[in-house]
Amino acid sequence: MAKMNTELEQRLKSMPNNMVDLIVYTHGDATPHLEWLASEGLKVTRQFKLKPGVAVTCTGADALKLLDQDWVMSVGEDAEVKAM
Amino acid sequence: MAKIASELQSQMNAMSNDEPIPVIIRRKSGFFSAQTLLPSSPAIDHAFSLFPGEACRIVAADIETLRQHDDIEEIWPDLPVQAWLNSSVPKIQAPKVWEAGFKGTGVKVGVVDTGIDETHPDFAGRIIATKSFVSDSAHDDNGHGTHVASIVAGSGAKSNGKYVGVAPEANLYIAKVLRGDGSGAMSGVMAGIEWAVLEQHVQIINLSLGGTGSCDGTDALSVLCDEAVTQAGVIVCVAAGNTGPGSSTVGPPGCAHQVITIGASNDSDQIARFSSRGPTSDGRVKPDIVFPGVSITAAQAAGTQLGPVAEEGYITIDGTSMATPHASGVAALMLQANPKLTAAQVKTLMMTTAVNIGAQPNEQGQGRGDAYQAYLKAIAPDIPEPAPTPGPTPEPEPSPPSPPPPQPEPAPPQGCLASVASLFTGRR
Repeated sequence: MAKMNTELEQRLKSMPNNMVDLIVYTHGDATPHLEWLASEGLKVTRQFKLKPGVAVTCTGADALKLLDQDWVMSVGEDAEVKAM
Repeated sequence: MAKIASELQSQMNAMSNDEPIPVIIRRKSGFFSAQTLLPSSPAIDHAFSLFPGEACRIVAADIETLRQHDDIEEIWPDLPVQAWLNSSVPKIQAPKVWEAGFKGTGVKVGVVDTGIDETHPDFAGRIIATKSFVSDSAHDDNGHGTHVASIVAGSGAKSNGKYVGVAPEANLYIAKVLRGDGSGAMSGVMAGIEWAVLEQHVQIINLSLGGTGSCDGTDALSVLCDEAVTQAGVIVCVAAGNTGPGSSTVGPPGCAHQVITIGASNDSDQIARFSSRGPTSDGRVKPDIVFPGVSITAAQAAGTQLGPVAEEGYITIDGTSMATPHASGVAALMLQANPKLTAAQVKTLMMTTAVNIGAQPNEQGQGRGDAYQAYLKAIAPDIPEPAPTPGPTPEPEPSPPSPPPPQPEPAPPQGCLASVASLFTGRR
């Protein structure tokens, strides 16, 4: 399964310097990868355990680095939600 | 043989043999009261004049005894009378479940929303824990979360029992994940869900929130909701969305596979125009069920006014947000009646006992929910475990490229050139 949907990937490529909020699901606990994330410019804002992963804020260019990491399961938008 | 009202029979089946049941007895003659006919000589709470009969409290065995007596014409349950949350709570027959002895007592419900007004009398003693993921406190500065929580579990104390929630004795665990303007981020909602599930061990999560746009259940929030159901066994009730009546308007996490997705109906059992419709973008029917979500009166958070005031401490608003906590409340009633129910069983029983209100599947799901019918199935023996709801279909792994066909061995050069050629090919 693709790590990131095509539309998101194209958007990140077209605006590499824009900041984005993403949710990254990982294969296994995300803790061992926190250091790498910080070193690559991806600021971790939350960490999840029910399904291992992190929420990050970063530029589009930095986000695309996630696609090359074999511990990354999926990358999706940390989209807005509203009361219904 | 005397007639026994079906509701009374159900109550007798549900309660223990020595638990007195309030009943009203109608006799054919004015001679023998229940007090004289039964060895237990029950106290008479009220004797009637317009027809011969009385109100009293007797155990199931005594009801059976009276049933055999020729002079007993009919026996009814002595039901309480009061007005509830508009007409929505009696419409879904929640009071019948209360009469059977179940009000969601002790069931743990997580309301992941704009917070709660902890000072509202309708929640006294039952807000067990709160946490904010967007601000310093979980106080409701919007009003939405208070209204939602009240539909799930409001006691009606401030209205003297007028506006009572579906499960008025359930316990509340409040995660504030939406700001004062009612907005938030998926990651905040996910953090709230994790807190409620992993730290507070709630049994039910109410999500009267969501994103817009069609979805297929693979977004991060929907995935986490599915994990909460499959991994932690939590019942997750999610609003379908308010962007109907167009098709494919159910937004995330309403398109999650394992959650119960709730649309909105009105007092006339019609689908609310605003209620989001399916299918999901991967072709699944959603919502799963509908509950009342039009003109719902419930608790008002102090300092806010999200809608018109019905009376002091209560406002009236519309939305699939209001429909969803009806489902959460029903789930709480079911779990108290049968704590062994799995999340899948609760979802299946709630859906299969829904009332068909004549709309399309992608408008009503299985129909409009009925708390009493769901409860009756919940206490039945030998409830089958439903087949698991299929999750997202993984994309097939790309096949490795086929190896090129082996190239045929070149024919060896003939004649005097053969020896020269062999020098280049290394062949002898």
